[in-house]
Amino acid sequence: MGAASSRLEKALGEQFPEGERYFGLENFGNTCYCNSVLQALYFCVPFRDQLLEYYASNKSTGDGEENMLTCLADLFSQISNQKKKTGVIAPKRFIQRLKKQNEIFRSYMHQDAHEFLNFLLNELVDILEKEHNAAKESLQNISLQKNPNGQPNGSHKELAATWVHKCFQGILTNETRCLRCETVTDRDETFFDLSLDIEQNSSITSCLKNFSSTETLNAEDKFFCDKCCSLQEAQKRMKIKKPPNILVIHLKRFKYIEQLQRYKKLSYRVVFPLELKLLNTVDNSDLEYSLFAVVVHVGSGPNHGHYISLVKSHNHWLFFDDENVEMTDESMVQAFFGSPREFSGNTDNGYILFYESLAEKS
Amino acid sequence: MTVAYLKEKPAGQGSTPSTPSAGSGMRSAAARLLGTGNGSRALSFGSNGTSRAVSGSSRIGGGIGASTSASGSQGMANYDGKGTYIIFNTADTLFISDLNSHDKDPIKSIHFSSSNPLCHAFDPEAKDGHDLLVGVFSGDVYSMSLRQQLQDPGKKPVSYQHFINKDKDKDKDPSQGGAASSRCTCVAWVPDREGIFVVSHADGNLYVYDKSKDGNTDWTFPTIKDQSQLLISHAKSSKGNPIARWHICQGAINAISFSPDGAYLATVGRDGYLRVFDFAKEQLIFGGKSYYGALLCCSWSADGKYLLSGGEDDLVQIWSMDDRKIVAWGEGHNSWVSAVAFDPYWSPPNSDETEENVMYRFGSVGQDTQLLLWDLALDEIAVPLRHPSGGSPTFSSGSPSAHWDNACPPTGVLQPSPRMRDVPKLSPLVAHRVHVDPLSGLEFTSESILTICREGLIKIWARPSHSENNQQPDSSDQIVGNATAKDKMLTSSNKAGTSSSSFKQSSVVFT
Repeated sequence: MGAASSRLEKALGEQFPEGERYFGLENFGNTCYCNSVLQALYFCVPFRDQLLEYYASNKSTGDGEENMLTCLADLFSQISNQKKKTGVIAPKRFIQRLKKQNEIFRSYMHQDAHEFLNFLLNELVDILEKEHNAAKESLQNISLQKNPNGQPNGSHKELAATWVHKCFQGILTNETRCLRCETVTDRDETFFDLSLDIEQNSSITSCLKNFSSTETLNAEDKFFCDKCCSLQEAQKRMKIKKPPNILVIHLKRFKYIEQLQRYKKLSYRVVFPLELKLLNTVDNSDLEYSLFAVVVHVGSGPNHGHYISLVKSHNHWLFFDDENVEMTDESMVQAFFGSPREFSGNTDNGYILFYESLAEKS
Repeated sequence: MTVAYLKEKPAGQGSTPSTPSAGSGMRSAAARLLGTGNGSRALSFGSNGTSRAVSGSSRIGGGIGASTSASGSQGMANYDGKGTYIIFNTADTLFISDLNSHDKDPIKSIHFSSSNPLCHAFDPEAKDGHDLLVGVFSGDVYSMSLRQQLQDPGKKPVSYQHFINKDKDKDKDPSQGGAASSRCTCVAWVPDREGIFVVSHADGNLYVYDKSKDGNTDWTFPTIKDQSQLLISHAKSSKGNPIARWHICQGAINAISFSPDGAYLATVGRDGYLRVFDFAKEQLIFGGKSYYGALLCCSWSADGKYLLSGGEDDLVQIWSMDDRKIVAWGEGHNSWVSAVAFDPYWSPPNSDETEENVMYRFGSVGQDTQLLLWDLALDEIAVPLRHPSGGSPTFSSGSPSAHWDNACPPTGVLQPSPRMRDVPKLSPLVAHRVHVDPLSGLEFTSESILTICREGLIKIWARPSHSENNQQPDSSDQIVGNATAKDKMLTSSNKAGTSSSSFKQSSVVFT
């Protein structure tokens, strides 16, 4: 480990970014799903800055109960305050807390990194909102509306936008046009990430297009039009009303196959560019994003395998594999697109992509 | 992939004709090599870097001539006559196949032991023999004679000249994993400049070489201080190579292309910009950006008036030299666009000379395994087109959007990405999944369209009207696409004159 760390330092030399820390995370038995996501979040600079700020402001009070938020803040502050520039840290308290908090993650089984990210962000939001409300002692009618579809992952109504919301939350709008009266019904829902269906030999751009493609509701699946007061054929599509600052894209690589009665991993080749614009926004915003982290699933099946992450920090790409941290090159990203044919061996596939808005930066 | 039109050997140039038996020996040697060629590296930095050969009108004559002499060249293995060859590379080998032969197995495979070949270019007009350029992973370039390679039975390049890239070690960036940053991305002969060629690299540099000069020189170019600035430096000594270095952009130059007259050089790169230079004046004429992501390929129209580029935004950009800007976006690929080309042999149907209705046919291939054919009708571009995908507001007829600047930008200005709603969109005429694997290259010949995938498999699609065997009595020039649309893939390039009556293979597998 030590040798690897010094190798990284040597490789960066004078280019080692001021004040930056590159630490591997110890694996406590199949906790790579956690480590890979934590690294991506650590190098999500607006998120990290906010979390460290939260840590600093809450440390003084010191009374707080331990929860996922405090554990994560502890871990991030521990990493950022290391004397050494590189090394390994054991995220022990965080993992213990996670296992206490959610029984899904208690076993030593292979877990889904996306499920973990989703759980973590919602947990952080819950805690922040509770704190916020407790502080305000306002008795606003808090209706935690679960959205009926359950599709997008951020299900909280925008009552008090926490800094987690400010980083990750976007708004989708579901446009439904009744084909009889032509009335368009909009329904907004918030999201922390977009889960995209994938196709073989396609691009993220194309997957996003499909996500927003028009769907016709007919036959068994008609739409109840409030104006017509009856079930009608309708056209429906999802568009992005408010693009998030940090765009998290989850590729649905684990698909339930009816015939097999089990999940299967799709190793499809899905290319993702280092810069991206959303074509499916309501107002054609032309907002540009830049890729800064990729969580990669390694392995051929959904129930086993490994997670690693590629992270961009100060214009260098780094490769995090639990304890190991290595320099890598931008062009390495393309090694994780997937395989152009089934059964052709490449099972190291980009699974969660993190893009940051460039508008926010400038 | 390059289609090389080798001319008849000029009289008075001595060479040793190889024995007829050598031909068959080479073939089996190639076949054996093919087995190993498939493994491919885990990480391919764009293998099969398709080199856009100096394209265009000058070739038409050669192409037609080649097809008639094809049957003749079959018999003689000395390769002194005309011939049309397909050159392509996978892994550590450069393959050469005879386009006109029915047996599409490579007739020659050249093994590069020290560094993998990544790109190549062929100059049919080369005077002194060295007409083939090969750029390799290390950043070095080799020049050689295609005919001499064909005549030699061995697996190594023969009588080649080796141009060493001296800068490759100097700017070694640890993050680039050593030599990867200086790898060749594209090579091109400068049209009408005998012996001058340029090589583009992944580090944003482009070098100009003169094949008549010494391959090695002690001269090194000054260090580049600002990676994002254009910097052109000339060698102090007039003897050695390279004679000049152009530092063009931060990150890789992914492809380069010369206008058919050799006056302009277009480059596309990782930074998403297309740049057009006046090559002789060494001056940036104009530049523009992709919608997002890197640009991966570019190619000129035969008249030099239009340019195509394609890249990671899944779009094909059509640029006008006169207007110095994008005139339209082609929407239709479901993944990155890896090669684009105008069809120099296509002429519009019922072309009415009196009307100002200029039309072009072009093709594009992508990582979505699709071949797309497009028509560019300029009168339709001026009046903005309908938007098939929706989302963008439709243009009011005739009056372009206020954001759409009609003024020609001044010389030397790089323009930012246009807004989605401001660019007219084109839809493809034909879209067809032609391979299983992502595609890397596309070439038009007078009788066919050639496509190549990343694994090195080439397919040859015959044009309906040029094939006597095609069962479409009413096929006319304008429906090249119909052959593909109706799934009538013509495989071996059956030439008028070779009397094959059926298309046996469904595809031609080279590797």
